[in-house]
Amino acid sequence: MTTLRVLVADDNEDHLFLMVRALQEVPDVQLDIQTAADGEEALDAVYGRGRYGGERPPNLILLDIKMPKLNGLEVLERVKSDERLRTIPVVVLTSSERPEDVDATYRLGGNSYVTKPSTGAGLREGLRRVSSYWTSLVSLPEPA
Amino acid sequence: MTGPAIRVLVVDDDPDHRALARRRLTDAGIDVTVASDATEALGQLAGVDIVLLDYRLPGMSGLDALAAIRDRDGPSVVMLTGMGSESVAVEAMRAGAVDYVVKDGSYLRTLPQIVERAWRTHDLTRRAGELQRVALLVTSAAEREDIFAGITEGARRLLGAETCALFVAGAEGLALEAVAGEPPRDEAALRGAAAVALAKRGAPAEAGDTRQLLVPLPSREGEALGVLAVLTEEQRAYLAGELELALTFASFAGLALANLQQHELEQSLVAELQEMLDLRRELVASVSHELRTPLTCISGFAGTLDRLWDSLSEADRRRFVDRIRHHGAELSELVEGLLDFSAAEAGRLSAHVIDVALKREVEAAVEEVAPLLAGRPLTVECGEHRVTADPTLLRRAVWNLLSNAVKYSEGGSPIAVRTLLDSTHVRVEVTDRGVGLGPTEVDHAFEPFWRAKPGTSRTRGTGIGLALVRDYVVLMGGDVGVESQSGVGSTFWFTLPLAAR
Repeated sequence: MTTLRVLVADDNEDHLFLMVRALQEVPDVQLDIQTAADGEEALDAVYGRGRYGGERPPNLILLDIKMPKLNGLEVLERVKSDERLRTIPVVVLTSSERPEDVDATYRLGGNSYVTKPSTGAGLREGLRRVSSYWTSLVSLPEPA
Repeated sequence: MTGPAIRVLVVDDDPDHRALARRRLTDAGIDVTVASDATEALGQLAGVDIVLLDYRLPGMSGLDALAAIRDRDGPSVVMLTGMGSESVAVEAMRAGAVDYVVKDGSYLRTLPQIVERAWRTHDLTRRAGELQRVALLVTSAAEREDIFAGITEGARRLLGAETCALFVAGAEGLALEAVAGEPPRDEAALRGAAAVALAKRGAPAEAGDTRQLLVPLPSREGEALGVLAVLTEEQRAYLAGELELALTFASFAGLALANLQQHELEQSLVAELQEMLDLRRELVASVSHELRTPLTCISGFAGTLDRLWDSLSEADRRRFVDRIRHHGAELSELVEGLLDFSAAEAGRLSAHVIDVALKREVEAAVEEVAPLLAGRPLTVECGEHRVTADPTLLRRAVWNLLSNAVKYSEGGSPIAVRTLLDSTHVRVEVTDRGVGLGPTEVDHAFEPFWRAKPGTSRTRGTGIGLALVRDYVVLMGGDVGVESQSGVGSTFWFTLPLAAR
């Protein structure tokens, strides 16, 4: 079983903790999970710099929208406008249901928009689906 | 003769007739131009009041020429017919000529009287047209500028003046909204005279100077909405009939103005309502987001505890319970804030002010906000002051200012609370080194749902925190404010009355 690298970016420490746990519990996939607490850290992880120095880009990115420094949509825009990175699937995962956010996500090239479930069980189920979709149903391209 | 001279165009192919008519009319003080055929006449109509049109012209018949002139919507036509061709005259009158003259031996002698009679009819028709045009403005959906131009141009033509200025009454006195013709030479003096006329309402005031006629514009209820100033270069004695006309014109113009103002008021109400609806929608979106965030945590940690109780370490269990309590407190803070906000909006928020030790409430707020600080050093310099306040509202006011300072500053940047004293009040300040506000932004900081631009979509919250601080503090008899510089940071402050000793 190959190991897939997943980057999870969320400024809420507890959300991050719960999401990482939920991802670790997803059956049948081996995930190497990186976390970022704001938009700048997320870009550091994607480019393998800062405290992620030398690491390879992730195979899948899960982004919250409301984050300090750079918000999720700004990170999404950077990733999707970079020739080398634009093939990485980006899932925007947020508590917001604002239509403007959904529109912006797809306009900027996001691959999926998922509303964060408000229960723990819902969150686990949601992440299981996201993760198995991107790991089993489609084969993720290896970033250039 | 008052006012400008009558202008006549004589159209006749007989040069002798032309010359004689010109001399006779010129002697009577009438301006005359001449043309020898219809085509030439059509090119010379501008500014002409009356056309004396011979019925027999080369190229085009007199009747066809009459029709062509009438199409131009300009001067009135008096037909000149030959002896024995009265049937032509009847046809000409049917086709819109105002009068006819039979070219008998003595017609030249009476020509000036005929021209003046025709001019009176012409003038009446023209003025009726002006009244009709301004009456149409009452129900028109035209733009503000077009309505104002219609009123000033119409009044200028109606009274044959060089200039007409429209002053409209507003919150800051009379505003000069439109001018037809030359701009008034001394606007301030004219505005002053117009203000006097506005206060007097009543009939047009000539203000002693007959170069200046001031006509108030009445609303349906009779109050004056503005003043039309009609200005002429020369001294001018207005006839009673002209003043009547001016009043009638002004009553139509007043209605048009009233309708316009009503329409603009409705438009601004619609815009305001739309803005309120947008803000509501934004509030619902952000509140649902804010409620969900802690709920996900509570449910997530509770679920983890439930499923994995036995395999979790004692320390993890402690930590998870602590997180649940933390997010529970956050939820309750949010709900309390929303309830207060809605109560304040409905005017139902009340403060129960007592003698309170300021320091204790400030420290309580600092303790509550501690989990949000995320490494920002917080210093508190608070004197031992006693204030008149509602302790709960005071604590929430401080908490909201601190939470605001956290939201708009980077992790690690310092936040300071301090108090300052004057003879009657204590001022509580919260200073951050965050994004700060520009000069135009500080005015909006305490408005509900307003957000500093760099904060949008990077900042959590419902956008009601600072509005709540203002509501709380005002209820307790204090004041709020902010000093800020973009990119440097902000000091938000409020004051509370000192308790009597």
